[in-house]
Amino acid sequence: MLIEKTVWPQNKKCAVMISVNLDAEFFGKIYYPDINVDEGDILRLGRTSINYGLPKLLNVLNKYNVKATFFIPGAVVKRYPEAVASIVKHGHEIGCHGNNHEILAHMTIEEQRATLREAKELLTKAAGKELKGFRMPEGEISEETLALVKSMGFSYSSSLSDDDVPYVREASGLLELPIHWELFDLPYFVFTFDPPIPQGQSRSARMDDVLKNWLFELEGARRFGTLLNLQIDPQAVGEQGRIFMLEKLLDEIKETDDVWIATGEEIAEYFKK
Amino acid sequence: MIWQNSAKSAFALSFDMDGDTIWRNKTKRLPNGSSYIKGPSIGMYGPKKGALRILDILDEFSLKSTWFIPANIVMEHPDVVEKILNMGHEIGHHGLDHTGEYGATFDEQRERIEHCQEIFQKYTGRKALGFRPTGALLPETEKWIYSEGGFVYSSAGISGEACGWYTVDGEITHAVNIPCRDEQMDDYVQTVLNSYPAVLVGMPRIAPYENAYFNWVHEIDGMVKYGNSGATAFHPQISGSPGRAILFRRFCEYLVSNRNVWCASCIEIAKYYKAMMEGRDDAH
Repeated sequence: MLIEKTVWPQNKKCAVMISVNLDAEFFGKIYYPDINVDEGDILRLGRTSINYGLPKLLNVLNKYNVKATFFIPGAVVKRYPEAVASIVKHGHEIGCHGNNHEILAHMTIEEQRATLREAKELLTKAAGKELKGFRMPEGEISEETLALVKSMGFSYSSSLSDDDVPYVREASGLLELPIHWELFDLPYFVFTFDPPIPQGQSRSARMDDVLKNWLFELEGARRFGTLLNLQIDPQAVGEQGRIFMLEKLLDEIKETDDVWIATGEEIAEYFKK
Repeated sequence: MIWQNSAKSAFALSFDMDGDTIWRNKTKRLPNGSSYIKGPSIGMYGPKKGALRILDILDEFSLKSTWFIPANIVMEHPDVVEKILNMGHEIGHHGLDHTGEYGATFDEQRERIEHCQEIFQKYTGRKALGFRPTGALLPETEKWIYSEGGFVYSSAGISGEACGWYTVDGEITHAVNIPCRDEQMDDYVQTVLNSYPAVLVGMPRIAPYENAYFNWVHEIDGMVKYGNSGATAFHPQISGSPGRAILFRRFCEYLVSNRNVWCASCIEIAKYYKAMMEGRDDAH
């Protein structure tokens, strides 16, 4: 075999990280970076995700005894402090997802430092402990961004897509826990009329089809020994009709005792050794 | 045309190992675009992981294939190219950087194509015999490519359904056309995604992986039914993900069990065609 298999704790076949991007209404910036998130469908979907999606998600994670990693923009802590407190109370990990879901690569390094510092302060206060994880707000970053993230004391990034197991990024020396679009629920389902999201207004995917893609990725992770890094936005899979997808996936993951389910922090700790 | 092993169709698994070229070409016009690493990281998955996983699967089924690689990627990933060649696969011409810019005149275009061939020669010890263009070429350039230029076949996207002599302006060249059904025989178009820049335009949903798989099988059925032949344009940066690799493996299983299909590299198909057709009245 040309790819050497990663050794996981307790000789598990593969690893699964459940991560949640708690964007609330800032999800709109994935599609329109300059959008006003304080009006219309964008704001309504954001509030729905916090009020309905998040509690259901926390219940399911609790039921399956799974700890997740929540990547949160600083501005979301300011807007929804009680929601973030409920996540912390359940013992999940808190990570940084920018401050206002900005495109960091558009900013100077000083501007990036200022905005990430503000986010880090807000999130650290809410978490009651040091943050380890950073996930870039969807948009773009540079090697400089990751060097800055490392210098600010973060132990890992979970932003890039050039691998399927954790690796140390050469330029910055920062550990990367890779992500892939096909394992992110939001782009399969999100839909608004005004502004059009997605831009081409394609129909939402069939839930069973999306689940099947994920189950193929789980089968692949088991076969090839990789990290399956699931990304959830509570407005997508946290919705009443879709929450079964997460339950089914967790059923499959827990079916046999061969998957290491871990938070970003736990994976980073393992790779530090 | 009856192919090797009495097969009704010849079929090449071929791969466009574009790496980050297609992403750099999209991001370079955006603010600070040359410093971006997210989009390009999607492309880098190809040479870093996807290609290796695919090579292992091909090896499992003893399938030989063709890899079209921009010359810049050959330079940046000589180790991967070496593995491809060592395992008995073919590498083909796929431009310098996937910009599709071959130049405005015949001389510029020829120079660009030869420059890539020099890179192939330097890094792999051989020149490419097959050509999969990444952009438009002048008719006189095409005539040159498929005669004095030394290329034995063309496998371009949207180039019909049948294997035959490659023609330019209705004139037969010395090269063989191996149609690349790129809009069907790939999972890049169906399952690639990015938000900034939006890929694909309009950000359509990622398709169910199985949709892509079942379409491949229907394409093969049609190809056999009409006695045609062709090639794929799989992108290792997409097809090599753990989950998609499960379906690629299933496709390989299907192909080796289908007696109507002779699976070979593009160059094997081109050489077989030439050997069978040359000397006949309708050949040169």
